Amino acid sequence: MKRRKKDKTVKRKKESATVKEKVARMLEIPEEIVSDRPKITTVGRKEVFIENYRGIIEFTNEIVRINSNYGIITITGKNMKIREITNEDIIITGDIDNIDYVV
Amino acid sequence: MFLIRLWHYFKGYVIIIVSGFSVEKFINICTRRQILLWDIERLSPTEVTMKMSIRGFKNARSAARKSRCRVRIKEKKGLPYIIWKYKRRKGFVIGLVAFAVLIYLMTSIIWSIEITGNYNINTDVLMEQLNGMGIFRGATKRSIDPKYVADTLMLKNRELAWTGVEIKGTKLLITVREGIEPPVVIPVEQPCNVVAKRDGIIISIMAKNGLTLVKEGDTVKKGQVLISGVLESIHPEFGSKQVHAMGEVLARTWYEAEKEVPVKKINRIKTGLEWNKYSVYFLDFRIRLPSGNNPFELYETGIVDKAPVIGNRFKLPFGLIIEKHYELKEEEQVLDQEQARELAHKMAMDKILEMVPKEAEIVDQQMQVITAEGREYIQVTVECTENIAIQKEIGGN
Repeated sequence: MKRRKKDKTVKRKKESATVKEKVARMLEIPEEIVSDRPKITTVGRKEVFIENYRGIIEFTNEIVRINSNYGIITITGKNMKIREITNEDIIITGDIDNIDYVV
Repeated sequence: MFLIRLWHYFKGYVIIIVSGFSVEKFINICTRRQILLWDIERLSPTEVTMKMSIRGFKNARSAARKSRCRVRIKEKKGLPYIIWKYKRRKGFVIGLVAFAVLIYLMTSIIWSIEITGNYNINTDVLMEQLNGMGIFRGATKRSIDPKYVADTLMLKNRELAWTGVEIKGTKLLITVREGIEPPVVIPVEQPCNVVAKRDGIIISIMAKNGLTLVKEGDTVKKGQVLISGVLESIHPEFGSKQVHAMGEVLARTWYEAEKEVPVKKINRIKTGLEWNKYSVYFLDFRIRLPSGNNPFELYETGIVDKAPVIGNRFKLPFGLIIEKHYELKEEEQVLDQEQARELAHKMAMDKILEMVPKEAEIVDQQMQVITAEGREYIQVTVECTENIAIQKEIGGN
């Protein structure tokens, strides 16, 4: 079991700064508030938070695929559950092996 | 996390099982409609279980139709469901309310009154004064103002030096302290004599002020001036000077008592028969239970209070009172001389001890048998040493 978190190099949408983001950067507002880019936070191997997602595509115990503006985020592992899901964020728990971006 | 769970519990939620081929779609539609979902778990390729708030569940119906999923409730959880369940049990709710009200009422009245610290004042007297103020067992706590009660008791009883009134739970504790009444003192500026309190023979005389008129060994009578406050000058033309005489006069005094020697003694013996009178009480209300009439002519009573007790000390304010009547019979006992004399002596001594003042010291005691008119008497004489000095105003009675 190897663990890796791929850098956000593969993108569906060209990730260039929009006017909105430029203004936000100038005013020193955290970018994730204004941008539609997903923010993924992992806590140990048990929890993954994803903010700014668009919807879930697939959900089983072994794989969760989540749609975002910049590609599909695929999380693989075992005994995975969605602890909480709202319009803005999703919390996935379980024994997580992989977090991937798929175009 | 715990707080969120508690919040969900208060708001109420349902555990549902969603089955279909596009459960993900159902979840997406729900989230888009601002329905909070949590603890989503896949059970089988076509079934998913999740938790959802009650409000959300109402909106989820159409989402299920849209995503062609079947939704069924596995379990309803939370406070709203419990309340809904108990809403129909009216008796239960009434009982709950009645319980709360009863507890409140029961704890807002005085169940017992305890008076401590009184030696000379009778407890019943104090209790009666309390009753006069509207304080009795069963009175509401709110109507009692401890300060007012303490002040009133102090004003009504001059003997009290201090009074503490405290409401402890359902108990009214009244603690009093009795003061010693100050002796009648003649002011120092006023001239006075020292006179004898009672008859006796002077042992010693010590004048702190004034002129001693008697000396050791003198026999004095009650009221006789021992230390004079009038000082005569050796030169009669200067007249006399009056002073405040003071002093201590120790004297030997006698106390005497006589008792007839009894020939026989009447003993009262329990026959062993007993008859009980029962009554139940609640606070100060007492109800006699029918138990017939007292069959005995000569009897002795004892009261047994059977109240349930919680712990060692807390007596509940209701219970059963049993008045036990024991039948007695009189038996005459002929006493022999020795026994009879001893009895008479004891009775005489008791009588003397009542007369002897506390501060006097008993030095000697004598017993004498007197025979007169065919009867025997025991005469007991007690010799004491005591201070017989007492101040008295000059010219007063």
